[in-house]
Amino acid sequence: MPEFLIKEPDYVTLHWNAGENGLVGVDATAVMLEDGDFEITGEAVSDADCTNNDDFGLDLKTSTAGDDDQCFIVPAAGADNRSLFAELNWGPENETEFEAVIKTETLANADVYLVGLGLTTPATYDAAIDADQFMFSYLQGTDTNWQMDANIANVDVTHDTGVAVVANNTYHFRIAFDEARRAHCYINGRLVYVGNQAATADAALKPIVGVEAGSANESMKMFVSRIAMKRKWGVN
Amino acid sequence: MSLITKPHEIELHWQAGRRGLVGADSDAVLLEDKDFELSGTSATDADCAYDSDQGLALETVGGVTDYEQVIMLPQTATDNASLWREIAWTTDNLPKYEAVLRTDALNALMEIECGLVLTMPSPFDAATDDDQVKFTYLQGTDTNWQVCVSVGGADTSHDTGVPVVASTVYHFAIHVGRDRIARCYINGQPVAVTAALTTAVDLLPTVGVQAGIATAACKIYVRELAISRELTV
Repeated sequence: MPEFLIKEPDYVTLHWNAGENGLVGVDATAVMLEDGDFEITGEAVSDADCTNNDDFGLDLKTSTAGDDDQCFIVPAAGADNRSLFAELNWGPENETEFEAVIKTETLANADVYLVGLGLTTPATYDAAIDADQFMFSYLQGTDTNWQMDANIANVDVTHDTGVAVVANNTYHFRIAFDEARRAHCYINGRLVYVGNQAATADAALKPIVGVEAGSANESMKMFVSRIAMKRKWGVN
Repeated sequence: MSLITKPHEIELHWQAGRRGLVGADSDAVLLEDKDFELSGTSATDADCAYDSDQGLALETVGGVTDYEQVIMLPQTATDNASLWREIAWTTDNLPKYEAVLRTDALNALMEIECGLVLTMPSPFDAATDDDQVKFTYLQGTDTNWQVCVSVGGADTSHDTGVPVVASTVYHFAIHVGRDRIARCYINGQPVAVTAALTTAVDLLPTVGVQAGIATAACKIYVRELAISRELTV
């Protein structure tokens, strides 16, 4: 059998290297030199909240405008920056896979880290708002370990992964839906959670990575290195 | 393990929609795909659209004229210099071409073409190009995918035996060997072996759809393209 150039014709896989195509801006439609795949969003967010880091890709940093300032990376929504991360359907029925590599910084008062698949980025993170999501989360002062907030059609489950959240530490997160739409969640290659029921078919999940500050006078930071997504192409 | 695993080859991969929609004249629109552009009878920007489950849809406009086309070919404009055209995919340099497509409805007299060509004439035919290797399907005439080969103006057609089915995904591959014989595959299975191609011919990768009659818009989906060749010493 010959060696084919296209190894997995039944799948689409996207890789994003932080900073490779510019900084991530708040409105990537306006600035053609910014990253076209993702944009930053959240409370009090501005272009200045994303900068290059010469050892770890990109810094995401909240401003100090008020409580619960945020800086989240989400697929670019603009009509003229056509991000395939936004245009493709990442529903669990497609055996969708999500991965991200991030690094924590100082763990300060009531800050929140989020990495995973969600529907929205509410001002002040609330695990109950999205009817469907699979989100690794950490709330300083409440959690010691990474939590998996797994919502299926408004039935919310929070699972303690047992993996400690440590300052200045790198984490590789992975969420993979199987044929039965059950989520398999990993941290640094270790399986930390398996959903016990099928996730909602056709849920418009999208990748979300970011940070929320707990108080106004602290600027919280997260480093992002890579995001990858994969799914089976539609059959019919 | 080396980062560059095949130093004597160049290999390009194109993911449908990764760099925007494919436009009819993308040198004018910076946010469109830079590697490919649309051409063909009655083709416009509106003929290419995202599909959230299938990649990029290429659909003829419908209702304007017979033999409306939507064809993807590498960029011709000088300001969008596409490596898909700037590199010569010469018959002597072991070119490999692959495409993953999905059919839609098989409308009356529609045609689908995919492969390595010199031009994409209007309407499609097997005789215009002196040299080419392409997979073709003409509704109403063909039941199966055909491999259409032209070598120095001598045209032959080979029935692959693989049926063309509506709403079905196909992985096409054309691998040209040192002997300039093209070995053709569909979904990983060998389906045709051609005569030796003409030496020193630069071919272009293409995908296209053509409607048979003006009333029926015809659609295919493009998911991924790949091409490679050996680098000369």
